Amino acid sequence: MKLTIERSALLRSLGHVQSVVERRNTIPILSNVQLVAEAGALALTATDLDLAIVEQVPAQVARPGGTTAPAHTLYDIVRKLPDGCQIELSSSADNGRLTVKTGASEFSLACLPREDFPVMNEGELPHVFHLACRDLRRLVEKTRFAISSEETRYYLNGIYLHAKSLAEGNVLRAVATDGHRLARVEMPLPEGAAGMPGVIVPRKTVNETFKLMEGSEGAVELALSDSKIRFTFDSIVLTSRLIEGTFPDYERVIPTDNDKQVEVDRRVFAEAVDRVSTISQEKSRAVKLALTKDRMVLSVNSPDSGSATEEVAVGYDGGQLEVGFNSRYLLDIAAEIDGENAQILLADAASPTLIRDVSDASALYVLMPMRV
Amino acid sequence: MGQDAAEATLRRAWDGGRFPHAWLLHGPAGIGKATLAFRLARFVLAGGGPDGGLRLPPEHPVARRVAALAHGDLLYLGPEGIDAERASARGDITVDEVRRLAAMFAVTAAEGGWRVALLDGAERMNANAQNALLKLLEEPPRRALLVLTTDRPGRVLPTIRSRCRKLALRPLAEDDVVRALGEVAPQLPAEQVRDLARLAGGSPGRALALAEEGGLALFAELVGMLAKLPALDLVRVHALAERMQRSAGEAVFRLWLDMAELWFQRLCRHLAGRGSVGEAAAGEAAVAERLGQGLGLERLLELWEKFAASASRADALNLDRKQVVLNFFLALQRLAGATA
Repeated sequence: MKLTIERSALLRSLGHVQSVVERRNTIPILSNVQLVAEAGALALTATDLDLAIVEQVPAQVARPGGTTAPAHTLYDIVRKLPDGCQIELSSSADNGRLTVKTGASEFSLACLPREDFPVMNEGELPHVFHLACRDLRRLVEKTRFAISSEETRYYLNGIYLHAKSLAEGNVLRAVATDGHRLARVEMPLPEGAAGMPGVIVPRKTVNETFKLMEGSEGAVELALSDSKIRFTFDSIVLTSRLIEGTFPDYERVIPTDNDKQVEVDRRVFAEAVDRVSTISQEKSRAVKLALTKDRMVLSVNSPDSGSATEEVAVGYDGGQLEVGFNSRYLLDIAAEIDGENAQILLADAASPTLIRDVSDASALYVLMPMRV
Repeated sequence: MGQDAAEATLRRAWDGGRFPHAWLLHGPAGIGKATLAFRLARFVLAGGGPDGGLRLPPEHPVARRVAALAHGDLLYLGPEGIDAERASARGDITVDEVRRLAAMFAVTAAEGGWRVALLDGAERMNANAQNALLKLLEEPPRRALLVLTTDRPGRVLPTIRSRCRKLALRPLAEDDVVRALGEVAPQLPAEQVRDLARLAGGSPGRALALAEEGGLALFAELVGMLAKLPALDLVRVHALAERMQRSAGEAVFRLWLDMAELWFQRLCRHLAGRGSVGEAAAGEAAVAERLGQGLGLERLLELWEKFAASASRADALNLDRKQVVLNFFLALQRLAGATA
């Protein structure tokens, strides 16, 4: 392999793919990025065995071929080279080295054969559809905080992406839950997504996709089967394995007849929760919400460190009620509400509580109360 | 290599179309359990292969990725695969390691076929890890294969054993060991190979270890010193015992204990089976014949028990190792003298 490539193009692509590579790896080749040069382009591939990112960058290819080289080292080298320079990458099969050359600098990196590099076999992906990066980002951003990190219920370690037909029309839905809280966000079903299987996208894939979408305004192509998902941005392709299992029937936990309705300024509420929770113990983080007509008193009582109360003006007319929540969870949800006001729908102090954005009906959150 | 019967069993099970999801390969150390497990993994990950055995050409793409441990659907937990920082001090396989395995089975296959986990040295799983594994064995995911290997099946929970298809691997025939040694360690002198093969009792791995640690030389020395019983070259005995002193001698002492035990086992087998054992060192049979005359197996065993007890006492209480060695030779001398 022998090629010349512009530094900033190489740096940007390496930046994308190297974030997949784990810092510590027991398997040597997983620390490497695969470089394949073919007809006017260099393809970079990195994988952690669960997902693989391939990015194509234009390059002047003098001799096609491929090898694998340490991803983080290569990234650091390219990062430190002067901006705007042309980099020459070359390798030959017999010495097992990748030479990085520009101006007066020359590096020689130990390589591993390309044949040993893992393969992500995507197989047939029968369901293909397009959506705007903005929309996908919204689905991911508003749900990913609720992904469980508990390994025993592995089927909760991702976002459940599925199509759903409703009376108002068909939607693409993203749901995540950890058993204490649940986030459900939807958007109109893109063309071609009808009949797609419900898939559970693992957390790391979700986060990597999110990173790739940062600042991007274009479209993304989703292709999936019941065992793989593929995201295609302009020149970047991310393919991932899916979580195998059945996502629980989440609709049963979404309350439909909570009649005690609270409307509160999102920011005022979040700040108040944040302030009073300073007192709460590290572990439980419980905050009590005492509701009377148009008034909410937030309080935290910790036998060790003291107590705190704060009063917030709300819109409420449902009779006296006291309910406790984990303050961390309340803050997480409040952070995802973009509109001015949040609506909290309660039944009693022990039943699931619904929180939603007053100005946005497509996102809703369910939170289990705590006993306080 | 030399495990054709076991390989044929696995192949038959594969061809039969109902391949068990868990196999427990057991048999003495160093006879090729892990080798067979890897062959099976390659074969299954490649989705089968040509007729006869589990052979897959080494240049096959799957074989290459398996060799680099870079196959997305293979997880290897074994002495070489365990993360040094995560493994506990005793080299156990911990519950975290087994959870990694569960995590691999929780996602769909990377290459779309089977997912294979190799647990090499399953007896090293601690109790928690074994219990965590049980869940997987009870409800195996689709197209998942677990291969456990162990040389101490008794230390694996019975509940695990009962959920695996057991496959016993036999020690290799002496000629197979010789052939195996010729391939993996061509640097060994030809005249040693046969002796090593005999001493190792059908285990090429053990034979290699014996060659590396100098066990064969020590064994030959031991036989040489016993050759003239009841006459005993006390200067040599003292010199040998001297080598086991202090901390530097501990490895030699352990090896010597192993060799003494091996010699004893072989002696008993020789006496019971009348010369079917073969010689692993020149003069071994002659010594055995001489000691055997007039001495019943019973008295020899009694001697051995005493010796083994004193050796383990010396180990536990940090007693003088030299004394243990001297006692061994002197006791044998007394015995031989009494019969002469």
